[in-house]
Amino acid sequence: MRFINLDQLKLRCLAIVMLWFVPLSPLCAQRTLAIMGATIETASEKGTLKNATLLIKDGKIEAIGTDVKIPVSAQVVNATGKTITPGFIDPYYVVTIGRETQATETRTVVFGGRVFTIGGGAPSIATTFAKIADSLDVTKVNWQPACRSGITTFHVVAGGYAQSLIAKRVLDSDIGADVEVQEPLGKVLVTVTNETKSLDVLRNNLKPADSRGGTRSTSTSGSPFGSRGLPIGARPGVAPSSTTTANATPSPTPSSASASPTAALWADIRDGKTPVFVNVNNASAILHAGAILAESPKAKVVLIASGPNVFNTLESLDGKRTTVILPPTIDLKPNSAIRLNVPKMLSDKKVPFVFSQSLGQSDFQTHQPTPLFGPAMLVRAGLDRQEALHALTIGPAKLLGIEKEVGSLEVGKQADLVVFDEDPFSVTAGIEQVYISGAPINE
Amino acid sequence: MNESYRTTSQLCTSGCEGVLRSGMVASLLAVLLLNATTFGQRPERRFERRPETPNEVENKPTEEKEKGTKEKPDDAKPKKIVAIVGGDIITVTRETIRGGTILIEDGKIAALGTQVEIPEGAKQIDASGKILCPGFVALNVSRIGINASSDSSAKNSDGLDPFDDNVRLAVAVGITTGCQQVSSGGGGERRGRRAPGEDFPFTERFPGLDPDLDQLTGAQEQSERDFGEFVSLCPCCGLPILATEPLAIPKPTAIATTGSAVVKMSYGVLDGMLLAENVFLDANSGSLIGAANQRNWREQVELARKYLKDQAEHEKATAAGKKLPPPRKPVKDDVLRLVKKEVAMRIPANTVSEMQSLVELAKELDYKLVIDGAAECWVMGRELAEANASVILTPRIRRSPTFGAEDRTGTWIEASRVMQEQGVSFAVNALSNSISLGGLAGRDLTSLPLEAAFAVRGGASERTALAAITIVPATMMGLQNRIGSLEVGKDADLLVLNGQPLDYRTYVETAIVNGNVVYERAEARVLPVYDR
Repeated sequence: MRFINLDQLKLRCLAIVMLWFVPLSPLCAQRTLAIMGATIETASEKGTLKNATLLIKDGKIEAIGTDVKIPVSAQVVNATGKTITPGFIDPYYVVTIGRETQATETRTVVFGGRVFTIGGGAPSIATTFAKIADSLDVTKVNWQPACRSGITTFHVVAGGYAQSLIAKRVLDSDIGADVEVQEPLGKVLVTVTNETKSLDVLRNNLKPADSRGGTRSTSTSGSPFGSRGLPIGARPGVAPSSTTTANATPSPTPSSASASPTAALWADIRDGKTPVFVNVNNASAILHAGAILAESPKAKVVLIASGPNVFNTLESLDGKRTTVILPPTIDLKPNSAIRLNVPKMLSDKKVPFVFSQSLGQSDFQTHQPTPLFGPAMLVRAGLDRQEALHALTIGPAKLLGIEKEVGSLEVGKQADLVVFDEDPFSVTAGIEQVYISGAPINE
Repeated sequence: MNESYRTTSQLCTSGCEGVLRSGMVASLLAVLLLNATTFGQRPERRFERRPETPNEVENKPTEEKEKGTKEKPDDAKPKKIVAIVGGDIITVTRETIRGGTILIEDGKIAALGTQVEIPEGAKQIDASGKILCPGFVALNVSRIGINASSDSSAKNSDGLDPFDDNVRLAVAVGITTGCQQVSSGGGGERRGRRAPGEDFPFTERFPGLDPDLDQLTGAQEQSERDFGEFVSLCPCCGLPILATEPLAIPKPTAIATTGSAVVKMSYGVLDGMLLAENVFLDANSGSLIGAANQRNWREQVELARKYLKDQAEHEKATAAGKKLPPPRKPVKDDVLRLVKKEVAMRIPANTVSEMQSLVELAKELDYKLVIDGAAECWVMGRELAEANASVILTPRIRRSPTFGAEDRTGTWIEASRVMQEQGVSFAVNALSNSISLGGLAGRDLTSLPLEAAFAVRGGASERTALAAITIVPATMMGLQNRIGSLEVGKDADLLVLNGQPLDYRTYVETAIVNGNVVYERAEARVLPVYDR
């Protein structure tokens, strides 16, 4: 096979030809592709394979290893010196579906060279349930930054209270988007902050079904000390208009368990069959959500939080029930200039975590030439290399329940892979090629 | 006398302004607190009479204390035990203990004294050479540690934010508990004049950029100076338009009140952060002014009394086996609790006429009264004492006297002394209820201990002034068994100070809330760390 190895021009032509014809021609699609000579980060039990060969047939991985026999008919790509990783999976890719209201959080203003914090009002987070699949237009979303960062599978989410979907990068779709919806019904997502309305979504839905009958009135009646509602003796019309009753505001939760479209979803969450994704707005929300989750012992939770917020509440996290989604960056300790490796802390505390590259939006944009800059810095600062890789690939896949399809380079899985020009955790590594189901996309 | 106090105060005011502009904080504080430093060195006297605590602290903690100091806790169950060793303990309600030990078990004070045995496994904090004192209690705070939700169904417990930066700043100056008004409940925006010390919407503007100079200088309308109260003037003749009573007496309605949440400054710890809710019947200012309002209020209290009686009878009847419909509740819950004397009425009032009518009502209807602001309280100390009313003072607040009545209107720096002499318990409020300046400038909420020092400057004893930011506000809220002093059985909310509590040079070295160390000066880097 050395003759192909030497013929670089031929190889390029081949790649271009494949790019144009693979999706169109079934004949080409069935052709076996062999990528050889690369270091393969399998993100599986096999670990890292040096100078290994990857055999792809029909968009799936046919064989992987150092002693793979390459069939005569196979197209061979030489990737010596390169590193191949599984396609990345973003476990929290936020899209806007035109429903969220702007949270008026505490704002920081710089005025006259001084920094002021202005106390914001109560954040208003949408507490009505929405299926993202119903309102998402994939053609309206800018997927480019994600695609350029080697992300091949997306867990598409929106703010507030919603049901996510799983989308996958495709070579060419009917509607001209880079990404297609693969599973329209995903996980339940809740955004919480330290505010009753948002916490009630969690609280009321996590209550066992049989005890939920009378919860509506008690949960909205305010403090146990009372005295907030309409004075009972007051006559209508005489009562001051400002003392509106708590009952007048509709409860964000479904009033009856059976009629609700979300009842089955929450039943699974209560039984621990599927985790609930909770985006925590601030550190105190982690504690509030934790207190609520302590009431339902079976439920599992995926917390979406920033590094400093996780650091603040590290003691309260239970690794058996909690997985953390966080941006892969070095953080600053709150109110100081001390740098933190929060993933390492989570790892030491045995709290599972996965990375969402899109969560650190600015990094996401700026680090595209070196998409793994953040994780690489974390690895340099002491995070285990395999752990960092898993947090980008098989970790999110397992979280989403798609680990049989994607997430690692194993026989039978989809051939979604990213070819790096050097060690992906070397800070300067750039993406050379991305393969979607065995087909290359020129970057 | 009157002339002299005005001169002093104005000097003080102009001094404040100068410092604000030039930033020479240290020089001003040194001048202002010369007294504080000298009395700081005075030996502590035994505390025999306690006129400043309105309701006697229950004796229960004393008995427990004796028990606690004699028998060491020998529970086999592992507890979270902290021992603070070697400091001088200012207990506030009892004698000061020199070189004592405080033992904290699971967030409560388990023992204190000089003979306390420290169990094994206890975390020890060395406080030798330091002063221990209970955490300060602020009666009016705004947006500290709790989300000020406009939603009426929002629960206070859900709004807590232990990572709020203001919590850190508050605890850095020693405030461990703050009472915050949480829902507007009544008429929304207040119209008319703004009483000093009332919630001042700083945070809605650029904090720190709009100095509360008008509070310091007592900025008042011309009409206010001339007539003592805010009145609108007739545009034609310039004479005041006097408030008139409506012709038809309105039907009784609930008076406008607000709810409150008592939040502990337990930075980073959510458990036990919300101490209590609705600790006052917080009546809006002006809700009892005028004959119609007062008649309405009398009727409400009467209805509440009748309801309580009916309820008792109903319970008796139910116990006897009769099935009767329960009586209809005619008033708000907080009125019932006021009538039962579970809470006090807190109402802003500043002029003698306002306060007199409030005192008369409280005496007539027999409930506990706390007057917030009380600028002219020094005029009517005896009346306040007779009605067993207490006041919330801000010694540095300025209010100009009415023209022609200079000897019985306006503020007087010696109001705190008058209150102490007359036996009226008073709490001290800071100039502002929010944190905007970060703890050094001495004008926002973080100046609370400094404000108490000004009460000393006005002639109150140091002990009374310290009580005015600890046990007195705690008692006003009915939480005297939980906070406000260092006694066995109470919550372990205490400060390790590097000097006397009211000294302007004193910093909080360590703050403990519910037994947890929530602030350490060297680590938190909130206030300057340097060696003197």
